[in-house]
Amino acid sequence: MVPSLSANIITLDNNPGSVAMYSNLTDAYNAAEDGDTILVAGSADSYGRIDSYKDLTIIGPGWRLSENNIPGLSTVSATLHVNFHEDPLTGDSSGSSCIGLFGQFNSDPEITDILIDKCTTAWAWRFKGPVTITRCIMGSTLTLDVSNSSISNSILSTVLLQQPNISVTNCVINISIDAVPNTTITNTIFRITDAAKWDNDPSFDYCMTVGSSFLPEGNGNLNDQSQAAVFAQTSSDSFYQLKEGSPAIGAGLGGADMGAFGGPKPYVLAGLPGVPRLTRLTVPTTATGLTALTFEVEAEAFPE
Amino acid sequence: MKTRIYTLCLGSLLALASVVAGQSVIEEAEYYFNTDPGPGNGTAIILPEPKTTAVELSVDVPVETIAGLDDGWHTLVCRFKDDDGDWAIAFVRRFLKGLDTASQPTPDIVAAEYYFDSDPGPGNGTAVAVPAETTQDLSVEIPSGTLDALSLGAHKLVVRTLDDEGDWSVAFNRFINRVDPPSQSTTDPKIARIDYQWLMDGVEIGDTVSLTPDAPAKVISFNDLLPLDELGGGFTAVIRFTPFDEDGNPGWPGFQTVMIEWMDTDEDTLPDPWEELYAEFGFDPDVASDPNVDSDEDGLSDYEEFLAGTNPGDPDSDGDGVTDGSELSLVDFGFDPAVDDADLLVSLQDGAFGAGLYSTEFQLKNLNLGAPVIGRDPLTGKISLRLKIQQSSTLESADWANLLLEPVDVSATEGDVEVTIPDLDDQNYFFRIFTDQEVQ
Repeated sequence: MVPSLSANIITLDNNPGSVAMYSNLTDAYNAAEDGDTILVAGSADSYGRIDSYKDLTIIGPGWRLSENNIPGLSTVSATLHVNFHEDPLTGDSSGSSCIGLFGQFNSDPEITDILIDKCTTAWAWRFKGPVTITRCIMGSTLTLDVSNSSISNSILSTVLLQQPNISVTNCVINISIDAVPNTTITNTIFRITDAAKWDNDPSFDYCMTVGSSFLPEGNGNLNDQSQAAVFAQTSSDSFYQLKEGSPAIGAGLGGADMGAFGGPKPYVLAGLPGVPRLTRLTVPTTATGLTALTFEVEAEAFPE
Repeated sequence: MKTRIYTLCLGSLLALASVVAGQSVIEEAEYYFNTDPGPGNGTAIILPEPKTTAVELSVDVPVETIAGLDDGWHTLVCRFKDDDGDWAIAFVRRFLKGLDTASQPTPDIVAAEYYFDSDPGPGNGTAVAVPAETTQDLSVEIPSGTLDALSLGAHKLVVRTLDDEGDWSVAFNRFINRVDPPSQSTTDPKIARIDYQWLMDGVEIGDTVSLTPDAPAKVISFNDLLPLDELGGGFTAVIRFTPFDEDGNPGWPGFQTVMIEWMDTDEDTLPDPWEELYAEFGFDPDVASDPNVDSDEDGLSDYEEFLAGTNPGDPDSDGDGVTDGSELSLVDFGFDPAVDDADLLVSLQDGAFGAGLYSTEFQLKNLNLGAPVIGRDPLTGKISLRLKIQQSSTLESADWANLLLEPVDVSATEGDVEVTIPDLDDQNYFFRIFTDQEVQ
């Protein structure tokens, strides 16, 4: 759930000529208090890394915006890294959320209730405290060294689940999975073709393999489906949308679709956050005083 | 000679035996339950004729015999005797006599309950209604309020049932992922307004203005004119637009840098509104003026007056006693031609007859000698004026320094008294003048 933006809103933008409140991530972090939200503008330059001891919501514009033809003033993502910490004197980052960002996220064992929503990365993530990861796409390794966590509606590469009591729901796993027993995996599509990269310890219900047959029989599982028949076969993250007539449609638990775009809270293309967005702004660069300035502006709302 | 039994089972009773040496034959067979009645005293098993060295038997134990046994575990023993009179070692198998399902049917499920994560103890979970005498699967809908109380993420859902004999089942548990379901407000959010705000050098100028549609909508747009009459012109500003949803949540601001230019109909570099403002001094927006003219002779041209924001018809626009041109050359000392700087003059004139401004152009301004000390030389009869003049490049008290001056012969002077001050450098200085008490 995207937290309410009723607390202080801090804008961060390191683009030249920015009119945001801050152009530096550290300055924005220092100005923020528990419960605040930092809106990060898209930028070609990384915002760097922070070690957070505050309960913050950090929202970026999404990513792959141009690939998905998402309207907006900026088609670049916001890159930043957050390490979630807790210290009795400094503070506690438990409860923090990161949404619509391109970055790296890690947490200490003391940290609870972290939400990573609609994020992507080129780096590995490792969480040692309970975390909810949803609607993300990763090309690197996700490691959960913690129980009582969940992963849903995400497109993952290498998944290491090192503690029990983790649920994986409505995901796509591309490269490998290694999990301990008492992990529940439901409505998930596996594109793993190498048996050596398959761990059969978790329970699998209403799952599907594409191009292989590793799933145990029964429990609604479907083995060795054709990738061409399952996915939409387009570019970017839209590749993982189900093709019309896909065997994954309605084949999940309770008749839900398998994969990242199924279930009650589907994956959102380009990780668009549920924040108002200007989709068109035309203002002349010069005007004559004491007259008037003609402009065009358009804004659009997006769901959470 | 020993007899070996190979297999035995109870269903009917199935026995397989053979004599392994000497080609003896199986002569007798018997079985009993639990307590050994002694060889030959069990329930005889009729062997087929002719007797053979190996035998495979299927024996039906009478129903009444089984019925006579108590429910629970029992021992069935079967043994054989060969024609040498040797009894085999008995074969023993334990079996469970079950309940008589005809008279004692399977217990009914009378209650069921569930809980999340921590076991509250049997009977203390959330009760589930169970139809009477059901042995079928239950479908339970957990209230949304219960789910809403769970934090996001993984949880353990545990379900167990109670039969009418008071026994709780082994709990069934499953991990679920609590996600926030889409609501109306999240699936169909709307934009309520777009605010715009002008900024100059990062500082907001003017009020924030809201562009509000007739009704909130997923997409709102405006194509309009922004009135600029309050902004003037001749500067660069940034206009910032910020969208807001119905809950008042802002989105990322968009912005555009805009050069606001003046309107100048007669193209004399003096803007129309400025010429209209000072029309009483002969300015006309439709008639070109020479912007290099210093109409009020205060050291600033009319164009410089426009840039400085001063009155082209008043040499001391702010009325503080220093001309506009002089103040503009003293901005480093805090003077502003458009602001009354009388407080600075107090410091300048403190304890002096008068104070002045010196520059390479040699000006003495506001020189008020008051009652200077005049002395007469008893020998020559000449009248001398003795002054002490101090200079400073700041207004700090410690910075004032005396200038070394000779007495001025004023015997034949009329009008102003001129004092020659050594040429300094190409800087501005403050001066203040005192009577020299030592010459009185």
